[in-house]
Amino acid sequence: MEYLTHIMILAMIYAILAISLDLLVGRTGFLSIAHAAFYGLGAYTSALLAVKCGAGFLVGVLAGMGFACVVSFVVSLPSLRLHDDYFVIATFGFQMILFSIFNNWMNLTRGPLGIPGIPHPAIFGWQVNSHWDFLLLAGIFAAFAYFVVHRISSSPFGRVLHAIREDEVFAKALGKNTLRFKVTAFAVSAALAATAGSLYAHYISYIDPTSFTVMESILVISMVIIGGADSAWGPLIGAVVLVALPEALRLVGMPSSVAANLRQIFYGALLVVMMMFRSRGLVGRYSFGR
Amino acid sequence: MNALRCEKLFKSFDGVHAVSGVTLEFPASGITAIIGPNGAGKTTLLNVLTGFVRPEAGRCFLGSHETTRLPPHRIVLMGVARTFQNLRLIGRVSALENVLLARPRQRGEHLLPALLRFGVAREEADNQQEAMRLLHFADLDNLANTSAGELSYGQQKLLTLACCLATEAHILLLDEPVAGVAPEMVANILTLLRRLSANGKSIVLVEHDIEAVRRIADLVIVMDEGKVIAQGAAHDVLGRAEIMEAYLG
Amino acid sequence: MLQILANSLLAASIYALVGLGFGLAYQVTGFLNFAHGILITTAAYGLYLFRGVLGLPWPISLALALMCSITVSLLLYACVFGPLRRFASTPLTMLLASLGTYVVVQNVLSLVFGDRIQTVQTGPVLEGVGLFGVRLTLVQMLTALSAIVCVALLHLMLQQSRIGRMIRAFADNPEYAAIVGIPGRRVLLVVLAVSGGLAGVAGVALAVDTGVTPGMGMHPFMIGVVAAVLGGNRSAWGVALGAVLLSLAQNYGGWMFGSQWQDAVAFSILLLFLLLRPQGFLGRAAHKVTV
Repeated sequence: MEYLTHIMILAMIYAILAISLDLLVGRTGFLSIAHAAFYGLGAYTSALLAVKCGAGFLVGVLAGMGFACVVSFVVSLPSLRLHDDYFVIATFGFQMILFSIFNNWMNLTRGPLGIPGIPHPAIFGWQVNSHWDFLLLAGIFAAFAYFVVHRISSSPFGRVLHAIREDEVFAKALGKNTLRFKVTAFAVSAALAATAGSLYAHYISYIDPTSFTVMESILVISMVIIGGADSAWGPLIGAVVLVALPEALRLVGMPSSVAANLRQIFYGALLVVMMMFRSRGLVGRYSFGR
Repeated sequence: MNALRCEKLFKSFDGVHAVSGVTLEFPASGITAIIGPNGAGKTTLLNVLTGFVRPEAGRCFLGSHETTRLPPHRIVLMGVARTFQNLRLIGRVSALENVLLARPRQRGEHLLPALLRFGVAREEADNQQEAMRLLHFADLDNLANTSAGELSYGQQKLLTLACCLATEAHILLLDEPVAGVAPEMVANILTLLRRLSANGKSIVLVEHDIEAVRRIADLVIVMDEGKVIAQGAAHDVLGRAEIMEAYLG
Repeated sequence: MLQILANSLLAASIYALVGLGFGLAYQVTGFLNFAHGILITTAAYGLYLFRGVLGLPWPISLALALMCSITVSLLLYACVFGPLRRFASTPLTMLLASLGTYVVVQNVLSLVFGDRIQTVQTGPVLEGVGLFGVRLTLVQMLTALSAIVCVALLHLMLQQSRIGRMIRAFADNPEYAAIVGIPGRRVLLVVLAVSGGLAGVAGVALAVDTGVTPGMGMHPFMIGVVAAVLGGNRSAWGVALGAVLLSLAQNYGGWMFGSQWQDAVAFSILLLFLLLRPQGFLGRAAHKVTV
């Protein structure tokens, strides 16, 4: 039972990542490879504030969100004015430098040693200790992420985002400052990714750079695509499937390292296959291309 | 009302002079047509005027404001809207949604109001009303909820016109508004343009269809190889044999 | 100071090779191919296999290793990107597919070869040569030499040869090129092969210098892409210049601020160029979609 709730908590955390990435990829139509970097930013901010300054959970979350937001502008403002490819490259570069900072800045992040001893969250007297508590907390955060993305998407702001996805030139010709919309969407998605990081840090109590690599970004992208972009359930389903898979493999008796490779091969291959035959994923409303 | 004009515009692509020393002043009202053979630079001129392409030299003005280096969306907000030669619309959503998209200065297009929704519903209702009015004007109201991709070509052209009007622009730059449209529809579109002009809109259209131009244009500008080779009252310019020969030859 | 320059030589060569191969393919295929990093890794494992495991002589091993990366380059197109093209995919879907492809191949290599660093023995350890008061290893010199030769050859090919002209025409405007009758297929094959070959040289050099792991391609790929951006999309020498700049800045920055900031230095240079000169050193303007 504990094991099952553990899987569900992880699925919730990844769902937050997938939902927030869907705002960019599924609804606005541009890709970021830096999602894991913001995830890590939130995790490290929360962890360091909690461990080194004794800050409360919510303080860490808000700090992580704010920090992620501000940093996102450094990436988006120079590159979003240009061709989308430049933005992808910029996010790729950003992802790699953040990893490099997580992994090499021994004095702050302890590099590969990671940060242990992150305390369980305490929110206005609610001590989050058990797996059920965490599941509830993660569920609340996931619901919040969903609420934010859905609200934005169904508003006039979201109408413009969708227009940018379909035909950005047309959107500009109707008087929309598409740069502002894209920069804002990117900042929101970064902030939400950071909340997932904070959750993760306090749940596992230990973080290290290996959780925030480029491969992790690609995993989240796969969750969005495989589950289905621009949909309410798609990112969640994608998260559940891709989190549950290696666990299922392990239950069948496959050694852990092989299971990890197989999971990656699975979602990598699925990503390719989906692009060829079913680019709207399992339950998505948007088909890439065509 | 501000008038659109440009001074000594130059723009070349890969060594080809698309626009070469163009100086024009568009009237503040009436219908002006820009004609010329393919590759004359008409669309490029439009692109420069609307901020989609930066000229290498020269300046553009709207009234007394310089618009040369402004991004497209700012020029739209200043009151100049355009359509495209290769029809641009959001095919996936309804005609109404397309027109709603075009409504300017929507509070709901900012993050906090989008999340908190204070006053957004009211504004959306107002915009919907205006959008329906425009669709009615374009005779598309019974197609409001049809997805734009399913409309006929002529209906799509009318829709792009409705979108332009929705931006509350007073100057409309239309790139081939009747090209490829069925003859009955052409008449509809031209009637609409005449009505808009009578209502005070300034219309500039790029067209190949000389008959259409003859029917509605007050002023005609002829371009060839990036330069303006003639301009004047429509019946004047269109009547000059050598112009027509240069154009058709 | 000069030693920093010398140390940067290897990295600069790698970045230049990767950036050129990537940029060339990008010009002709029109999408960011993340699987390009795989070509580096493939050649590296190729060398490990042929030289390290099978013990074949150096020239043969090197040649075979390059054949590996060229073959994979063509194979990936045949199996993944070519078919996708035919399904009328957009650059974004191609990019997504390339991400998936990269993940699959890296993990397959991991399953087959394991994650340990494999090394390719170079015989008695070569201490290196003293040249103008600076120490350079044989690997560094050979790699730099190969890189310079490759850049020069590529430049010549693009500017002077018939196939080079066809590539440039195709890169400028594919529809027009097709109309004019430029054989798209042949251009594509040449470009894929050259691109694979360049990545292969980089992979082989890295294999000898630092060893072989499944994930080794990612980092040089990224910096190579930045070098390609700095170089602009018109000139081989531009990319080489960008690679040198990056490598120097990284080494200098690492020496001044600590090695964890090396990538931050590269990234800052990228951002600076995006802000001020997106067309790179020698490229044409980086415009968005035509209207």
